[in-house]
This record gives sequence, C-alpha cells and structure tokens, in this order.
Amino acid sequence: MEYLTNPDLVPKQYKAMIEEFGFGKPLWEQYVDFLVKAFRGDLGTSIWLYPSRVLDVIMGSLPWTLFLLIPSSLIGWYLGNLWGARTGFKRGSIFEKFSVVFSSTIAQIPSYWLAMLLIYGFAVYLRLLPSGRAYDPTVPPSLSIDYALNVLKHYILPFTAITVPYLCGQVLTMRNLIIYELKSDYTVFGDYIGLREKVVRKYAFRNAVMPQIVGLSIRLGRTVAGAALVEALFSYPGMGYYMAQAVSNNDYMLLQGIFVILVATVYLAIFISDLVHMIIDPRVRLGYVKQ
Amino acid sequence: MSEVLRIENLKAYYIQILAGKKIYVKAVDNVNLTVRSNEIVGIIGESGCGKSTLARAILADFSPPLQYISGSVILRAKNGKELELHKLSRDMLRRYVWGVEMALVPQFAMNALTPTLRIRRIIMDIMKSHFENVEEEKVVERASKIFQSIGLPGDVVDRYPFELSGGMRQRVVLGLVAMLGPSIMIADEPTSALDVSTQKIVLKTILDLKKQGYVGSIIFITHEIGAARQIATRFNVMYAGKIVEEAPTEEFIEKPYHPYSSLLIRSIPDVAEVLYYGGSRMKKEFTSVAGAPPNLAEPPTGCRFHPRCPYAMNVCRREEPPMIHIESNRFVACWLYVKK
Amino acid sequence: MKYMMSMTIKKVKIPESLQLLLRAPRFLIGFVIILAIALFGLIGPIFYPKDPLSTAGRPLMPPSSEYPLGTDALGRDVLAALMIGTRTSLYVGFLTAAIATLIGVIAAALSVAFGGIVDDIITAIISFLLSVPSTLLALIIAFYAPVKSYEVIALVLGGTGWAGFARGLRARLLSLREEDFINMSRVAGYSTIRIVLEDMLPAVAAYIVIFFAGHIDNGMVGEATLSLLGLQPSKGYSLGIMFSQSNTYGGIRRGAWWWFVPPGLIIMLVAISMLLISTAIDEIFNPRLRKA
Repeated sequence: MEYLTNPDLVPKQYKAMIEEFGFGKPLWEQYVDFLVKAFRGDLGTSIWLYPSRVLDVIMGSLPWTLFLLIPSSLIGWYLGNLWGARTGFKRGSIFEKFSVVFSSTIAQIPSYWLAMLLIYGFAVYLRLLPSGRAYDPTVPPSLSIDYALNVLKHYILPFTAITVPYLCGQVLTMRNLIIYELKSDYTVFGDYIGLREKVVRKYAFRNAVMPQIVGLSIRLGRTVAGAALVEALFSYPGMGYYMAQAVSNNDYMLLQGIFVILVATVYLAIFISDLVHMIIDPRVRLGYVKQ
Repeated sequence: MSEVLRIENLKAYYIQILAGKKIYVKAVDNVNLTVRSNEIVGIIGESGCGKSTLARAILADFSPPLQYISGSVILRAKNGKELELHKLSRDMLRRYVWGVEMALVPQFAMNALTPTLRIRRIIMDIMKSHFENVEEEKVVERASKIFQSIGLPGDVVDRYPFELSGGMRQRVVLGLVAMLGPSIMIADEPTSALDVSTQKIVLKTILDLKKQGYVGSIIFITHEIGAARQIATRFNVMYAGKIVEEAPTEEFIEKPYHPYSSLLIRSIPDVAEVLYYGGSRMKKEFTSVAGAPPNLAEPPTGCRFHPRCPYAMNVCRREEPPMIHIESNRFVACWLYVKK
Repeated sequence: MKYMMSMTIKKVKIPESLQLLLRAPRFLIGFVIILAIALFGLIGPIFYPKDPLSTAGRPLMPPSSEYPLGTDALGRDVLAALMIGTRTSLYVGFLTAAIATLIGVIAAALSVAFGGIVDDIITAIISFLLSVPSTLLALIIAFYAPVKSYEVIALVLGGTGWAGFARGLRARLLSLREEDFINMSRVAGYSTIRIVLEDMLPAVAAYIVIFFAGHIDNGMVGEATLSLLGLQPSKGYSLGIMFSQSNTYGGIRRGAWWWFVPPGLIIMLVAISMLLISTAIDEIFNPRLRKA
C-alpha cells in the first residue's frame, strides 16, 4: 500500500491513514468490514478522491449515467423495434435488404470506437460539438436555459455513440422475432380467416415485442458497465468514468463501492423485468402449462 | 343441386432449390373436383399424398414455395357471381373470399388462436375485418349462442385460448367459421390430433354446424376413413397428387374399385365390426398397405400406384390411366376398368 | 404438408454441404478477409521491418510515404504498431473463443450426459453468469487478478462468456437425445460419453463453429475494453492498447485519426468476416433457413 500514499508524508499521518482504511487488518477482515458497512449504506471513503466518501461520489455520478443511459436505451429500443418490425414485415424488399446490411454492420461497431470517431469527426474536425465533459466548466449548473442547452450540446455525442449500435442490434433481433411470428400457426390462420393484414401484423408485433420488453429491462441494468468506456472517453462524469479512473488510480474503495452498486442494479433490473414479464404475458399470470 | 366449387385440371407444385437445381414436388397434379351445395365431400389419402396441399390449392393460397402451374379453381360466391380464384390476388382473396365464402379449418386449429388475446377480442377483430358497423354486444351474444349450441361453456368468450383444452380450441375455431357463414368449409384433418372421444365430439360439431345452416358444403380432408365415413356423402381418394377414385360413401365402402382404395379400407379395422363379428373378421380382412408413398418430386412413371399395386400390368407402368366414368356416379382412374 | 415436404426434401449429407459451403460467396469473402488480417498481423512485419515500440520519428505525424500510417504520440510507427497489435489481439480473440467454446461444450456435454445434480449445478452456474453482465464480471475478476498477461485476459474473457452458448448447446443436445439414432446407439450399448461424442456432436457441430467464430470478435472487443479501462497487461502491445493510448495521450483530441481509426477498422473487419462466415454456415447446415 505504500505506493498509494505519498512517501513524503510524515509517518504519523501515514499510520493514521492506514488506521482509517483498516489496511492493517488481515484481508478477510477487511472484506467483512466492507460488507457490514455496505449494508448500512456506508461504502467507505475514496482513496483517490480523499476525503470524499465513496457513497457521495457514486451518488454524484449516478444521475449523469442514468441521464445518459435511460433515454438512450428507451429511444434505441423503441425506434429499433419499429424499424425491425417494418423490416420483418417487408421481407424480400429492397428496404429489408438495405436495413439488414446497414444494421448488421453498424451493430458490430463497438461503442467506444464509434465514440472516438464521433469525437474526431464532430469535435476536432468540424468543431461543432464539444469533446468532453458534461457541461462547460464556465457555465455553472443552474436551472437556466443556458445551462440546459450547454448540457445538451455535450450530451449529443456520447448519446449517439451508445444509442446507435444498440438501435441497430434491436433492428436485427426484432426482425428475427417478427419473421418467426409470421410463420406461426395463428398468423397463417389469421390469413385464412380473412383478417386484415394490419391486424395480423399487430398480432405478430404483440407477440414479438414481449421478449423485447424483457430484454429492455435487462439492458437497463447491464449498460451501466458498458457505458463506462464511452463515459471515460468523453470525460463524462458518470459512474463509468469514475470506475475507469478508480482503476487507473488504484482506488480500491471506490471501485468496490461501484461494483456493489452495479451488481445491485443488475439484480434490480432482473427483478423488474420478471415483474414486467408477468404483467404483460397473460400466460405467465394465469399459470400456463404447455400441452 | 348446384355446383358451388369446380376445380379443373389443377396443378400446383412446390418449387425447391437445392444445390442450384430446381426440384418440382408435384403435390397437386391434375386434380379435378366438384362440390355441390350442401354436400359433404371427403378427400381421403395417406400422409404425404398431397391432401393438405390440395386444401391450400382450393383456397388458391399460392405462396412460395407453392406455385400455381395450371388449371382452374372456380367458386360460386354467395351473391351468385363466379370467381376464378386462381386469378385473384392474395389481397382480394383475403378480403372477399377467405373466411366469408370459403373457410379453412386447418390441421393446426388447436394453435390457430393468438395465444395472448381473449377470444372475444379475436372474434371482434375477425368481424371487423369483414363487416362494417360491428357492435360488440351483438357479436358476443351471437358467438356465445353458437358456442353453446356446439357444446362449449358459456364463458368461453372471455377466456384466453391457452386456458382451453385442444378439443375445445378446435371447436372454438369451428364456431368462428360458423359465425362467418361460408358456403364451403374445408376441414383439414380435424380429427387427427385428438383422442377418440374428442373426435366424436368434433365430428358431431361439424355436422351440427351444417345442419343448423351455418355452413353450406363441407370438404373433409383426412386419412381416417372411419371418421370420414361418418359424415361424408361422397369420397374422393387421393394418391400421390392425383385423385384416383370418386364415389358415394356407402357404395365406396361396400365395393371400392381402385386397388389402392380397397387396400385402404381393408387396412382399417372397423371397431364396430370387430365388436359385432368378433375377432375372426379382423384377422381375415386386416392387411396393411405395403410400401411407402412415392416421392412426389420423382413420381413413378405411368400409374403412380403401380409399384405397390398387386394387380399391376405392363400398361400401368407405361401410361397414366384416364379417369373414367363407371356406373351412374362413380369415377375411377385405373387400367383394370378400361375396356379395350 | 410439412411432413410431406420433409419426406421429399433430401437430407443433405455432411461432405456434400461442406462443398456447398466452400463455394458459397459469403463464406469465401469472410474467409478471405480474416485470412488477410491474420497474414497482416503475422507476416506483415517481414515485409515492413520497422520496430513499433521504439521512437522512430516526430510524434503525431500524419500518414506519409515514409510512415504509411503516420506516428503516434510517442513518435512510434503506427503501421508497425498496427501489425503487432493485430497479431496480439487476434491471438487473444482466438484464445478467448477457444476457452469459451471448450468450457461451453464440456459443461453442456456433462450436463446432458449425467443429468441430475450435475445438470442442476451447471444450470445454476449458467444462470448466474447470464444474469451478471459479462463485461462487469470480467472487469471485476481482471482487476483483482494478481497476474496480468494476455493469457490471463483471454482466460477471464473466455471464462465469463460461455454461459449463453452452453445453455443453447444443452437445449439442442437434450432435444437430440430423443432422436432415434441416439436410442439405437444406446441399445447397442455405447457408453454415454461415446454417444455424446460420436453421435451428438456432429449434429451440433455447425452451432459450435458458429459460436466460436462469433466469439473471436467478442474476445478482441473485450480485450480492447479492458485495456481502455486501464486493465491491460504489463507488457505487450495490442489493438486495445492503441485505443487506450490514443485516448490518454490526447491522440483523439489532436485529430490523429490514423492512430485510432485503423485498429477499429481491423476489429470491425474481423467482426464482419465472422458474421459472413457464420451466416454462410448457418444457411447451409440449418435446413429451415434454406430459401425455396
């Protein structure tokens, strides 16, 4: 632990820090301490950003991350599903072929690379949009339009970097789901009984969107980790950014705290997705047993 | 009795591309069929003879990989006009023909209902697709009446399809068809996936629907002669994509002409007969149909049945027998009956 | 109707479909791409013998005839660096895919072969792995790992990414188990392991290969992710490190696109080539997808 603390520190202060962080105790004891404190809501104190408490750091950065992730996931999901469904319905058309090729390619682009390209393209080359941070340090946070616009300006690029690959991924999955539904018995029968095509499509969409809804809840839980890179690249002060910084600064306490929150979020998301699935699918509600 | 449906020389093949080559699966090969009003026509054949494809072809559902080759499907609509189904676009068929004039109760009727919607919603959607000014109250009332008349519980309308048993779902589908009142109902293997007691119920339901006037004629497609015999007035035997014999039911059962037909009949032990005459009758008459149905991509030359026919002659291997008229209303396609 | 069709459609045997595969345009294009990239990384330095890790020229020079891909912030030759980076990243990618595939196959095979408690335990592990985002898990493990080398990274990435594959494989094996030809082997007295290896695996071979191909890209991206977050190995050079350094040394902000665009292109090309190969394999070996 010596390299963490300034070797020029007076040995007394050095000892005091060791005391405070409990590094003197054996490893397993440290871990138990951590768990106990975590349950009580005390995630310890950050080393790198000493003396801020880990909890404060997390609470300060979490809103930024959520602000980035939630709209991105919702919009990407919604638009991606609509586009994907359209593609599935118009099977064999030029629109479909184009959509598939386009989405397949874009979906493969890693978010962080896209982020780099966007930074280069828009921030450096075109000088249209800022390349980092959530807002200009010169414009203080307030409830003014100025501030809001400033935030938005800084928001566009990271938002795009995360949303676009996700959206294209949704297009592809939704398309596959729709194609699958269009082959099922009830769609064929819908045709034969003379149901309007619009209605048949509505049925297919309803059934296809259900797994997607579950996927959305899971996505919301998981992307906090995935967005880390984009945040780091944009110096966007969200949890991902702090996580990256914690790694490079060897701030174990902060990192552990972030991990705990992330894992908790994931499980919360799973729980919510199970709940949502139960609400929207009558089969689950009424105890469906497949014959 | 007037003709409601006339199918002439209909050919519909499946086109499959395997390793760059086109393969034609001749599932419906030169089929002739007439259905008169208020008739129940049975189409009998083994699995793989093309029966289900014929059902699609009757509906003129020619979507890839099934392709219309030649022939005609002419339906007399309820308003008297004659519709050439094979010439209509899919859109026209959906709007004006399918469901209202001619309805298919598919083999998979048990899965034909959208699983996540209540039945009343499905009914409403169907009604709204065909008619204007649909009032939910009246529709549900009529539906419940029909459902009850075929033995379903009164609250079936409010249930989800998955809450009902397979047989019940099948009857719901029959009820839906009844609500649309088509002049022809095509029932594709309605009894296959059911146990014997449910089979009886479904057969009775079909008959009831006709008796009460909800449907005009019925085309009953199956491989189970026993079931077909109970309600069909005429039998059409299908083999390898072709109709090989046509006769009124009882005359057919008494004396089948085509060798395939007689093999079919003898292969099915009639439970009632067994019980009546005892086991000895079964031992004497039970033979299974030897061999397997031919590959429809490369059917045998000449008469398609000749490899399995105990009476095969040289001409059978060379030329396809024509369909000839024997007796007042029986037809057979077999060289045995062609006079030289 | 479906039954009739399945009777008349010939079952395509393996050697025949292999021929079809090798002639399929998608497979060929994909294969050529990945081959080109691999050669670039492995043999490239022979044709372009410049040392990527020593300062060669002025920092951040754009591409020129002397330095086809310019130099990075430390004055190193980017093209040479790209070659080395590609080699390492491909290595990590293949290793990750191999580890994940191996673990997945073993897990699924054990699960299906022995059933009972073994199955329960493995399913539980799979569910756990699937619920936690693999990136996060890999991150946590990589952070606490005492040794940091590319092999370790591959181990971590591979060890966290096999769950989905194993679950799908297990499901397919289970449905295969009910097939007739399996029962025949069982009646003939083959041991369970032999049945799994001889009878079942060929049938799912396509699925396994497709997963392997797809996971190579995951491995490379995962490596880049970890490097970008600062979890790179102490020595060695990879595409991920190129990304990471272009970020920390301000390469992006100073517009040195030649530094960070090529590594991304390489990863994307690998991804695309794997996608092409996978879809080609899928189309040929999965009869349900064949166009009529």
